[in-house]
Parts: sequence; structure tokens; C-alpha cells
Amino acid sequence: MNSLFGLGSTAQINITFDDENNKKLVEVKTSKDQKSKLPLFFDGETVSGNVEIKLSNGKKLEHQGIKVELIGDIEFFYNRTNHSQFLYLSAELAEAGELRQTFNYPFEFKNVEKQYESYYGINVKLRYFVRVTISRRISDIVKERDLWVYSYKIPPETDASIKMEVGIEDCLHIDFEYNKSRYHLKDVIVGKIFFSLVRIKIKHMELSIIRRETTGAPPNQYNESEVITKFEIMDGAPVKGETIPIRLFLSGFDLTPTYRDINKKFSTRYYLNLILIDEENRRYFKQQEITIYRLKGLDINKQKNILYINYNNLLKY
Amino acid sequence: MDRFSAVRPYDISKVDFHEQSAEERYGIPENFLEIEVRAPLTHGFGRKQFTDYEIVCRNNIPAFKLKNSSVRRRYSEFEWFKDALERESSRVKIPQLPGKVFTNRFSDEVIENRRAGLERFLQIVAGHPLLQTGSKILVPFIQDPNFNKDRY
Repeated sequence: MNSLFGLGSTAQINITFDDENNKKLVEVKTSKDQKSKLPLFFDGETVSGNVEIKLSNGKKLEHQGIKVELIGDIEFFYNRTNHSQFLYLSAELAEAGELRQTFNYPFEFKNVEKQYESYYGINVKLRYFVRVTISRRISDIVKERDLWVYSYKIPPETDASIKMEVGIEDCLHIDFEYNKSRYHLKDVIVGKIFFSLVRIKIKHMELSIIRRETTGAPPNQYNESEVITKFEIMDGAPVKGETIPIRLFLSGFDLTPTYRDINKKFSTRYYLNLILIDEENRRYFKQQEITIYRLKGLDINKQKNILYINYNNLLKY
Repeated sequence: MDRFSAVRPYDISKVDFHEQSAEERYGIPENFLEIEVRAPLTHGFGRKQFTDYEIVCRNNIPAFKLKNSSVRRRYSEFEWFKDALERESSRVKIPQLPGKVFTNRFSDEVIENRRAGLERFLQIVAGHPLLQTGSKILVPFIQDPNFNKDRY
């Protein structure tokens, strides 16, 4: 177990990336209670850095070779042996030999294609990491360091808004409209609900965002959904002719871009769910998929904006 | 519970997100439906004694044939009605009736509990959109004074 953390009685491995202090860090929930800050990389960017192998106790380290790997991997939570590597690069840092003192090995993977975004989901995760292995006869010493990747693939341009009339014949007819069908992560959903027939007694109406993650391939496909947020957009009984506005800011929520069939392994889709509840707590709902994407230039630190505004105010005096 | 389906192909030219008229805003809503179970009366003597209840219905819903109605029903008819509803549609969850009673059937307290339970039952069932339009027995049971269960 120790050797997985790069700590052996003989050696400790430290992996650092070039220009790490200037890299943006992304805070990521790596497990239920743990959060980590991982350096951000992009498609086509070189991944380079340094591997420091520190000897403890002044003892020498005999090894069968030292290598560094850059791996992109899709892993299913329910079946940890089920891995799918879509990116694999390796470089040999040292041939079999002996280390007598702490040594630094720089590494460079040039212009690495990173096709997919990093993702920690409900049942699956997609991660990129650098792994250093010191091979030894009895047990290897291994150290991994994760990085995080954003992707700015924009879905095809479409002016289409989402407009639909739904209902139950003779009981309830509503027309709803959402201004777009594709939204970026800091976008606003603007829309309205129009009641054209209301023969039931409605108590209130809610809008929720649902993430549905699909893992595996048919016939063993598994869907799991979670509600990202739910809030009330109307309280009380509407009557015919009423219009209820919708304004939902996406930046407050834990969303990712829509992922479709990533490496044929998983998909993550988002749905807007409009729910009406009547006086007997019967629920009427309509789900509508929306496409979410990441827009370049909007991942800036909000703090910077605030400082800028204050500075402008100072100039007046 | 229920998923909406598209009612008809969407035709944007027909959608009129108009301002509500005064009548729409302040008039009687289209979902006016009041169901009351009241006036329990015990009839007959000895073994043939039974209690029935008045079902009063006021509404402006087209699915109900009459805007105002009043009929009398007894508990055993409600039992038949509940079973028939369950047979009619497997999708809809039918609520429970107030329980069967074997002793003190004609005491005021028992009758009142039963009355309240039957009223609650009917309110839930009558307001259900799928039953209003899909059930053949809902409206006749509530409104038809000549209701004959053998016909259904």
C-alpha cells in the first residue's frame, strides 16, 4: 500500500508540472468527503514537468527501470476492474540501475490530444493522470498525479428554442417555451408557461434540472438520474390565460457539459423537468432535454471582476 | 404520476400568449368542482336496516353531464364502485374507503366517520383527470339517480 503513494522505505516520488503556479486550479470532489485542487490542461497542450525521486535514509535504490506514463482512463465505480484507456503515452526516464542520491527526471509529452473532458460522475469517472513507476524485483514504487481537462467543443449552432404544447385532453393544456435548446454553463434559461386550459386544481409548479448518466452499452445499459436542483416557479392555482415567467441562472449549479457517448462508454445528459402538483398531490410532469456546453473565456475568476469594478469607482475621486 | 403527451402537433401561429381577459382573470375558474357527502338517513327495520348518504355535486366541468346533481348511495354501493374503478384502470391508484363496520353500524359517531371518509374518497376520485375522462362509471355513480350497476 505504501508503495502506491510513492512512499517506500527507500524512496519518495514527487511529480510537479511546469509552470504549475500559473495554472488555473479546478476544485474537484474526488470522493464523498474529499475535495482536491487539480491543475487544468487543455486539448493539444503539452504536459511536461519534473519527477523528483527522493531517497530516504541515504540508502541506495536498486531498480529495474523508471518510467512515466500519461493516461486518460474511463473507470466504472461499480466495477473497478472495468477500465477503458483512451489515451496512453509513456516515456522511459531511466534504465535499470542504481540511484545513490535524490535525482530529478524532467518529462515532456508534446501537444497531447485530450479528446474528452475530465468527469467525476454518478457511476463513472473519466480521469487523466501522470503515473511514475520505479520497477523493482519484488514490489514497484508507483505514484500518480491527477490533472483536470476542460474541453470547449461547441454543439452545432441552432436557433431553435424549445416550444411545446402538452397536456391531458380536456383537463389541462399548457404551452411552454424555453428560449434556447443549447445553453452554456453560465447561461440563463428564459422562458414562459402559458395555461390555455385548466380543469384541475393546481397547487404549485416546479422546475427542476436532472442529470441522467447512462453507462455501458445495450443490452447492459444502466441509467441513473439525480436532481441537480428543484425550485418552485409558481405557488397557487393558475387559471386559463395565465402566463408564468421562468428565469433560471445556471451558474449556481453543479453542472457539466452534455456528454454524448464518450468513447462509447457513457453519456451524461441534462433535462429540464416541469412539474405541476394538484391539490391531491398528483404530479404531472414534462421532461425536455437541453444541451449544455462549455464556453471559452467564461471560466475566469469572479473575484477579478469585482476588483475591476471597484477600481473604476476609485477613479472618479 | 402522469406524463403529459403532446396534445396535437405544435402550431406556433395558433399560440396566443395573450393578456388575460377580465373574465378569465376574475370569473369562475374552469375547474369548479365541489363534492359533498351529507344527510345520512337510516331506512328500514331489523335485519333490513341500512344507512344511505346524499352525494351532492356542483361543477362546471364538461366531463360531468350535470352541473348540479344529487343522488343517494349506501356503503355497499361504494364498495362495488371502488372495485369497479380498480378493474377499469390498472394505472390509476384508487384510494381506500372508510373501513367496514360490524358493530354499532347506526351510531352517530360511526355514521359521521363513514360520511367523512366517503366524502374524502369521492373528492379524490372525482378530481382525477384520467378517471373523469376515462372511466365509464365515475360520473354515473356520482350523478345518475337511476344508476344501475348491472349495466356496467
